[in-house]
Amino acid sequence: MKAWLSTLAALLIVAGLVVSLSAIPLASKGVQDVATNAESEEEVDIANNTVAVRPAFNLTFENALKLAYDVRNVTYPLFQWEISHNVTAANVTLNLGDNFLDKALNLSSSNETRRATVMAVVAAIHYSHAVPLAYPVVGKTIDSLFNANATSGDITSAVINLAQELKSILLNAVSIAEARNLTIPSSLDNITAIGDKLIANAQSNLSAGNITLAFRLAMSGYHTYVKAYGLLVTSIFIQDLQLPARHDIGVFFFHEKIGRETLVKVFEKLPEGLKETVITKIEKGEANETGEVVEYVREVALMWSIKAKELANDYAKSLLENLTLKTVNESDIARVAIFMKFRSEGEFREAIRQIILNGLSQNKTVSQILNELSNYLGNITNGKFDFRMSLKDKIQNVSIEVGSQAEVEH
Amino acid sequence: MRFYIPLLILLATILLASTIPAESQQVSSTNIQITYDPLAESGIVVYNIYFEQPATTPVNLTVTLIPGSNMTILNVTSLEGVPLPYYYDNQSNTLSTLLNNTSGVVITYLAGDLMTMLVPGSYYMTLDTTSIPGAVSVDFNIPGLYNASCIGLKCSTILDFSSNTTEIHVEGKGSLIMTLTLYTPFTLPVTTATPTTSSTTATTSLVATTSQYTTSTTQVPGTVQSPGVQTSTPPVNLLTIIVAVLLVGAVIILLLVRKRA
Repeated sequence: MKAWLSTLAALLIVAGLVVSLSAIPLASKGVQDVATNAESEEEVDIANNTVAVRPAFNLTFENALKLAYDVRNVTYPLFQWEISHNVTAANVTLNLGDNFLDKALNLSSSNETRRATVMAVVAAIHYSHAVPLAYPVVGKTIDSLFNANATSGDITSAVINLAQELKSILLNAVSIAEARNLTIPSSLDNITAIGDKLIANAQSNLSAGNITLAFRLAMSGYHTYVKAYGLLVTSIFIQDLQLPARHDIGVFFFHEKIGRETLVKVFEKLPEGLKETVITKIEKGEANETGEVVEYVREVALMWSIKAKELANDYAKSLLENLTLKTVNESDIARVAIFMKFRSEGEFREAIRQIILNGLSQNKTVSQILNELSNYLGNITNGKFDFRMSLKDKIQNVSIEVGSQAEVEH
Repeated sequence: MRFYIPLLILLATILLASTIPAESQQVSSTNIQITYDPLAESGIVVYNIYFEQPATTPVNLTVTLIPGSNMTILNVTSLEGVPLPYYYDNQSNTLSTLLNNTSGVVITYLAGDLMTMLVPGSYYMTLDTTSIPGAVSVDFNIPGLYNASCIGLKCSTILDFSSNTTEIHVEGKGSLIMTLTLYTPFTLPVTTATPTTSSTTATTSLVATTSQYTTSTTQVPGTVQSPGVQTSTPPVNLLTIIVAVLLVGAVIILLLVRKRA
């Protein structure tokens, strides 16, 4: 009996040891699993699950929460103004932000701090969207006045008033930010001053009866104040999260979750020839993000450039040669001079062709080649034939101007 | 003197007529396709320029490109696909090309930073189509779902939830301020968050709301804990219990053995 009990005890000890030894890899596997899942744990999907918010830096819950409060407080007067102008999206966005902040607080109280941190960042992102929602305020006002058959002057005046209201909300937001010990970006004053100037110009042009210009200036002024508000809000993200730069701020937060179908749909709008090669690349799974597709197109551009240049040079050579011969043939002075200098028309054609080919091989522009041809023809006619002048009626100038404001940084 | 006046008019007309090209080339329409990803900050722009009739005299076409960073001209072709010679001046951001016997031109280029970030997740772009001759249309193809807001020119937006893409069509001449903000379902019913007392209250209630939030902040006293430790706790605890039960059992048996001895 004693031996049996001793054996049983020994077996139990061995079993305990075996279980505890097997528990070591099991426990560490648990940690590994969590480490693998840590990314998904820290992700919060937004925009109908097309974007994951995943702060790509070390961030404490306290900092994230401070960010959410700071952004909420600085944008709250703007939300209220937008809501008072019946922008329902403002109400929804504010509530969404509050929902995420609520979740962040609940998660943190149940010790799910890392997820809570991301939730707080998501809340801050939603609060920050009060800034773009300032555009529907002016849009709705213009639409309602337009539908009520208001005059252009009345509409312009309304935009000026809205811009002034927005500026006062912005100044209030600056005071709120200062009260929360946030640093105001140094360029904010300059941008606001530009807005002031635009609005003052809009007012003077409106008084002078230049309504179209006044309207454009008023819209630009409004847009400038929105940008200034955006700068203020973005600076809070940079301060609270101690981010290095403003420009790439999205890189720190957003991870796109778009699939193959999305890329195919978007890039099938490319011109024929390019479209097929890009779609094949996407369908093979060799380009899974927009950046990869664009880089692939850049490679294609390099491959194509050699072949395209050859074809374009052939096109340019034939076009310039025919154009030159046609122009020369229409001038008696030039024709006589060429007859005196060259034995045949073929010899003259060859001389012209060489100037064009040399120019193209040296990557000269069409205009530069035409200048060289002009100099050459001027010389052989002792300055009696002005090629550029004669060409004037033979080349039409068509211009397409697209106005755009490129602003990489404020 | 009276005799000379009609003669002078006739002479002036002849002189004027000689300076006008026999056939003036007109742009019938311009379509700009912008395939752009605001989050990736890169995309492809395609200009499709159509003439009213095929150009039979050479045309020197100058086009202002929508500016961006890292611009690379992919190709410039006639509508028929023939590569055309071009010169791109990055100072003035204009592309000029010489063409003949074609009904239009296609310009394709790559560009980054076509849109500017307003706040995280929201991007804007300004365009002015006033000086583009003929009919004008601009189409944006954007991967992902965005709420679009257009001031100035009207936009028609399609959010395709099956492919997760946003398509925006703009037509006409004028200036446009377009903002894209990561999609939020604005039409869905809203659930009011508990921490907010009222979202329609004035600035005074903001203080109350804020203080409520701030109070909540104080409820989070350094509870930062790695989720790794948290989620891996249950299996470790279960194993500890099993090991403890086995060891306790063994100790009891050993004690019994000793007692009997």
